[in-house]
Amino acid sequence: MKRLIISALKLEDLSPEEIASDEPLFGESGLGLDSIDALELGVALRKTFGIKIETVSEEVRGHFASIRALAAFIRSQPQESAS
Amino acid sequence: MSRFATLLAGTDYPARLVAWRGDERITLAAFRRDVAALARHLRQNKVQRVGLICPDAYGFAVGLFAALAAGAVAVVPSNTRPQTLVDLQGDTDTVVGEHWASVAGEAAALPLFPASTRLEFQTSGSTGRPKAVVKTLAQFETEALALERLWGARVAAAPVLATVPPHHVYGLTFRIMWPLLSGRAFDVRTHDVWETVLAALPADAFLVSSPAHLTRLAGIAALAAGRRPRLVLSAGAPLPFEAAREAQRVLGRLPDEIYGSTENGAIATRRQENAAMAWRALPGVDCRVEEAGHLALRSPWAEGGGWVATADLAESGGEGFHLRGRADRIAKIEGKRVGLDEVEGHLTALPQIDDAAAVVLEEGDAALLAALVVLSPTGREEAGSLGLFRFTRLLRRLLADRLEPAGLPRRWRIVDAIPSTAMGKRPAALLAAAFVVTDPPRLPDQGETRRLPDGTVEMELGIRPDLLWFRGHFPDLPILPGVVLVDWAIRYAQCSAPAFQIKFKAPVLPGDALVLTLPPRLGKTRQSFEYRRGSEVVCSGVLRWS
Repeated sequence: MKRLIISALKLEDLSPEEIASDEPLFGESGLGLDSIDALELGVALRKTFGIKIETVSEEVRGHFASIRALAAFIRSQPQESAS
Repeated sequence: MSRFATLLAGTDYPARLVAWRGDERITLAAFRRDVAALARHLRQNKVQRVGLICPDAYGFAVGLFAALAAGAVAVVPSNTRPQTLVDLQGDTDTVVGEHWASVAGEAAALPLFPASTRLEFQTSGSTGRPKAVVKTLAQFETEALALERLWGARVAAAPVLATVPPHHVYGLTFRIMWPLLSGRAFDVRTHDVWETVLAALPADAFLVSSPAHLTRLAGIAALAAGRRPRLVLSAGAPLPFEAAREAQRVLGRLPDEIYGSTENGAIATRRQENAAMAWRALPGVDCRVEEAGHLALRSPWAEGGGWVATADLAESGGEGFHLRGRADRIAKIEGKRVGLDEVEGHLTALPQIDDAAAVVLEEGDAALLAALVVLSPTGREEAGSLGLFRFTRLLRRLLADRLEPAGLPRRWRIVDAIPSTAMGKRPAALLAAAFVVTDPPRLPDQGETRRLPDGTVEMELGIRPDLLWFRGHFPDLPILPGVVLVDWAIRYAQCSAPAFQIKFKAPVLPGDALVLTLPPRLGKTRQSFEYRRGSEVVCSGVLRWS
């Protein structure tokens, strides 16, 4: 998941080891990703895991909160293989 | 008299839907009441200039028309960053934000206000300082009526959803002004991500969007026929042709694009039925390309009504014109206007930075903002302790007090001096050269490939020490992760293999010379493989698929 984020968002100068699994991905206190990163992350999740997020919005923010939340969210999705 | 004033002071159609917020429906009667109450409050406080920052499009509309009805100038900031808001407070008598309803008191009769009432927009100027663009309500009314003539029949009564904020002129015109005058309802939310757009999308909607969103539709399933928007608009920057195609696939509509500016409103439009589609002036607008290549226009809703030159470069062709970039140091990033001088000014004002240069990089179809910075001793110290990524994100956060996300550099290079010519100039090409990245390679060097008489393929592979896979795996003992060997086998055998069996016999180290052997396939669904170093087998296995 960390590698996916680094490569999908094209984050330079960052290695997976530098991202803590429970730190906030967005906002001021954590990794500092922004709204454009959120759009790109949506693209990456759809492409990589075939995930369709059509449930309502406030939950979406929760799923994107940290690496751990993202991983849990992806595991909770019905397996619909991307390839 | 302003048409908006007449609409607001009237009593007809009280139940007409003006906006919705989730399940909440806001009627014209409620809108009239809210505007009148806030206008009265503003008038009692004798305000002359009212800043508008409400992210909720309905609250924004209430603040705007209350300010105008109170005889004040409505001041719209270029973004809603914290420092911009501090500056706005200094520049206005009051600011109407999220809590607009709590300052509104009792409603009173709404005074009629003239169409000459003024709105002031703060935009990025090419000098690095914000530039105020003053427009009258009459300009918006004329434009909205022209839009209605052009698209009204196609849009019908479609409710309006938007991914662009109300404080941009495009957002204000298309999601507030035009819907209000034409009797359409708008969603008060500004949608950040597609997931929420799709969740909120009513049937037969009208989507006001921009390239920031329309270039990021990948992976979304095509909408069912009944959910397709009637009209998809994009403005802010030209939409790449591929993105227009993708939007047609997913949303079922080829976007109608608008070329325009804060000063002049909508100017021209195109729908990219092919990759060479020219922009055509909107009905009532005249465009021409001047000698220096600048586009000039004459529009009923632009200031003065005479010919005005823009800083956009254009070429005539295809019964219209093609845009060819900007003549000044204003860039379009994610559809937003970004002043490079302004970004540099804010960067060099930071204690971490001694000197800075901003440059726009083209990456695929996208324009990306990048910065070269020379660090101060403080900056070097912080970069050392935080690590480069977190340090540059810290710089972004510091800038974010004044610049919106599009104005924050996404690529950074820390340099000893900003590259410049002998004349001391910093041409964009020279700055951009610093960003040519050599991504760490992901594949081995490919040596000779042999096909043996029995169909077996042997490939010589050189394991470069700079492979991405050696980074950070085991810092003290770089070995190639086994999954990479499987991935390469799948790639070189040109199959897709959801299942595999594999045996690792010895670690693969930087600098190794390997031979990958791919015998003929076993049936149609199996491929065995073997990696050897000299005569030693380091890894072997079978790929399976169905």
